[in-house]
Amino acid sequence: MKRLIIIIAAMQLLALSVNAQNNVLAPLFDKYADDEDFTKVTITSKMFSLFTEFEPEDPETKELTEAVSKLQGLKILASDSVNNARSYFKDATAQVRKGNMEELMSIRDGKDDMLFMIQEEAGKISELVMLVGGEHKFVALSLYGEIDLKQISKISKGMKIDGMKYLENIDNEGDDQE
Amino acid sequence: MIRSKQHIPKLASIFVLAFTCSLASLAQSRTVDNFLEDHPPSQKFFLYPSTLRMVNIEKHPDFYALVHDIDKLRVLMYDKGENSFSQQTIRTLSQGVEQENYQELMTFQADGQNVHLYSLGDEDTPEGVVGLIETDDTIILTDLEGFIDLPALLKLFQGDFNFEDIAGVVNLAVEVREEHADKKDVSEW
Repeated sequence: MKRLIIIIAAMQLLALSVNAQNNVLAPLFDKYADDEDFTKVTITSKMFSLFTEFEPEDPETKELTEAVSKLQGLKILASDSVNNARSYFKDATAQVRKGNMEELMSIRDGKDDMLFMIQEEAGKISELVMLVGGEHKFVALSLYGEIDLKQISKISKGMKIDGMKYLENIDNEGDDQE
Repeated sequence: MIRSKQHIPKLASIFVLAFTCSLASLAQSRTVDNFLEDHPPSQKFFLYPSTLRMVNIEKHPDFYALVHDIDKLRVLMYDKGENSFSQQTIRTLSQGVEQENYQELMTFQADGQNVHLYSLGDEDTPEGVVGLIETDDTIILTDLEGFIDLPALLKLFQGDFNFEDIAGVVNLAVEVREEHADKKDVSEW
């Protein structure tokens, strides 16, 4: 009986840790779930898994499809019409920095600040968080699963979702790793 | 960000045609069937491969690949003004679909648009997909038979394919229908 309780407790802890790992920005997404000023996108692992069904002939598409199929989820919260966008950015940055993530890069592009953070274990990136803050613009993005930085830029072009375009900035970082 | 309040909103149209990604969609959702029985749609139409190829104005080869294996796309549209739908309608539909073991593929909320996509079955034996789309004045339910080539879709997104052409053709089709047909009429395209 004791053994069973320990197993159940261990499983619950494991589930909690996986959940936490995949949801660094979860409190932020929950907070603005009903706020109509924001665009909200959630893509589940089920959607990404559908890509495993295909075997494209050309190598580039095949590589991209494989990269997409290893993703587990994507969440985006975005708005280009919030008055206190910089404070959203500041709060979100503070929240992410509290987690067990390391900074990949930060960019100032005109009036926009961008921050890219990653969770890496044993050389594999399991989560990528991107925050963008501008005068009226705020984007928070969390991508998780097995992430290939070299493919991120291509994936972001392939999705054409508001907020994803900023991920194309990772292109140079991906090239550096080759 | 795409905004439109008339007929089928552009974004919803794009999702209907581009993201209703069922593989071998053999199953029909009981939830959608029951809803259809209880609520006659304002408009209902079917899009076949021939219609879908029509929107490929620039004859893009990847678009042909995308729609090649689609057998039929059923679209049910409800004008909220003509029906007594509440804010719970889509939520109730979503819950019903989930109880049938459909799994959520994605959700999208922006500009008063609310999109939910669900699929049934696993990667090897996918059985169906349901799309629930709500805008300020419309509820759209979608069913797709056949499958779309997801890598081709990715390539189209990466290229210069104009997805708004799809919305344009669908909107035009709806406008023509409104001018020449009874709203309660049911047609196939």
